[in-house]
Amino acid sequence: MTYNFILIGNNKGDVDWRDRLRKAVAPLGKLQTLTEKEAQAREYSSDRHVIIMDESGVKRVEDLVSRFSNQLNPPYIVVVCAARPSWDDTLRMFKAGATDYIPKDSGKGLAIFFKELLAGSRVQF
Amino acid sequence: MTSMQTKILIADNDRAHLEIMTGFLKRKGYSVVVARNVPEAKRVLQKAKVNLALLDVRLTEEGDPYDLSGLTLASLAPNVPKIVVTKYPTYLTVRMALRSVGGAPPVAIDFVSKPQKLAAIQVAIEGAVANALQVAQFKEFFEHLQNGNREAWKTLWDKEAWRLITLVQRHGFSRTVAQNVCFEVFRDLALAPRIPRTSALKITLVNETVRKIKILAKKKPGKQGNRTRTALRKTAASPVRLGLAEDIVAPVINHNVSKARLLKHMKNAIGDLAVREQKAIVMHLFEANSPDEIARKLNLRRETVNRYLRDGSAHLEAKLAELK
Repeated sequence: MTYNFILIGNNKGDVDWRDRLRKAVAPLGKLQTLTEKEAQAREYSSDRHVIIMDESGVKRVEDLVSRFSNQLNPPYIVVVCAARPSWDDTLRMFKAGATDYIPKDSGKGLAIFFKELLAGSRVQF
Repeated sequence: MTSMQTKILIADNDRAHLEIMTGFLKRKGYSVVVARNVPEAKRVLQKAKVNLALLDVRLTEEGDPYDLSGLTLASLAPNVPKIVVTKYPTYLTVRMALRSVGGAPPVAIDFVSKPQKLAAIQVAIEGAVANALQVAQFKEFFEHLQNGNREAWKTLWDKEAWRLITLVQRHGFSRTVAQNVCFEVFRDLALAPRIPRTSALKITLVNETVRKIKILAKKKPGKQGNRTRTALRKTAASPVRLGLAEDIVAPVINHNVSKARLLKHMKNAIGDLAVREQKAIVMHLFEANSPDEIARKLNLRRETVNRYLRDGSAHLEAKLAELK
């Protein structure tokens, strides 16, 4: 089963991390990059989407998380990535409906993280 | 459920905080039960019918940053909605409390830091009570669905559970509530005497158990850490007893990771258990009847396996050091 990974964030920053992410999700599906504006304007189908948000590249993260996790049917898996996750930001993201909130500096663990996340989601859905 | 009917457990080893919270909640009309440590809280959760629990994260040792006994306790009482309260909020504690793993509902429904005002705790409690009301309404809705067409319901859940969650959401409920309710109903359904457990439920339960074990494995060694580990080990379900041994390392094996990582994962997952249990797990994992078989399957020397079986985790640690 393949997934459509959509990375929402600023196109310019953090090239290394984007590369690592692309490699990590490559065995599971294809990664598409969108800016915040493009993500908001886009029509979404009921395909299996995994939304990855680069917190530093999205201005209204909470609104977008809430939209993807609570208002779309079926709800998408939403993972927010932050350079330095603080406890209060973590709380806000989970309350908004994020599936998970992870530090960008996850190293090689990113691939395992997504594999386990999607294995869990298959149980759920 | 009104505040008059709501019985709340407050588990905290900080007496001053316990008194303030008890007074505050009683003034708001809630019925309050208090617990000052893990065994007391566990007893209350098992015997008294509480509608909500406010659990401190560091219930065993206030000064120990690795003490997550409140979160472990929370995961032992899946039927009671919990709000995690702590004086030392961190990224990891929030994530452990609110993250949903493998389709199971999160350990807690909300997280409050102690320096916040009492009003914040009140908002969290009111939210939890409202949530409980939604759950009750949903159970009614599902019962109706179930009575209407039992076979269709089963098929729906087994094959297309996400549609069910979507269906719930269309009635104006949030995803979290939908998932919680679906999970509760599924569990009730699976536990009903005439309906056999489905494989999906088994996987969910397995994931939940693995998560608990991972929380245990995160404890760092040290004087205070060891005490916490001992305390936690007493409350943790034995994987041997649950027959889940192979599932502990399944995530690692499935990812085709190296032998070193597998050993490391095993050490993390079962290092806390008694040597006898570790041996049983190793035997069970490789479906082996003898050390020879394990040696063959792990591509290790027979002496190495024998030493591990004799000395348990101590040897595993030495082996890890070697591999590093």
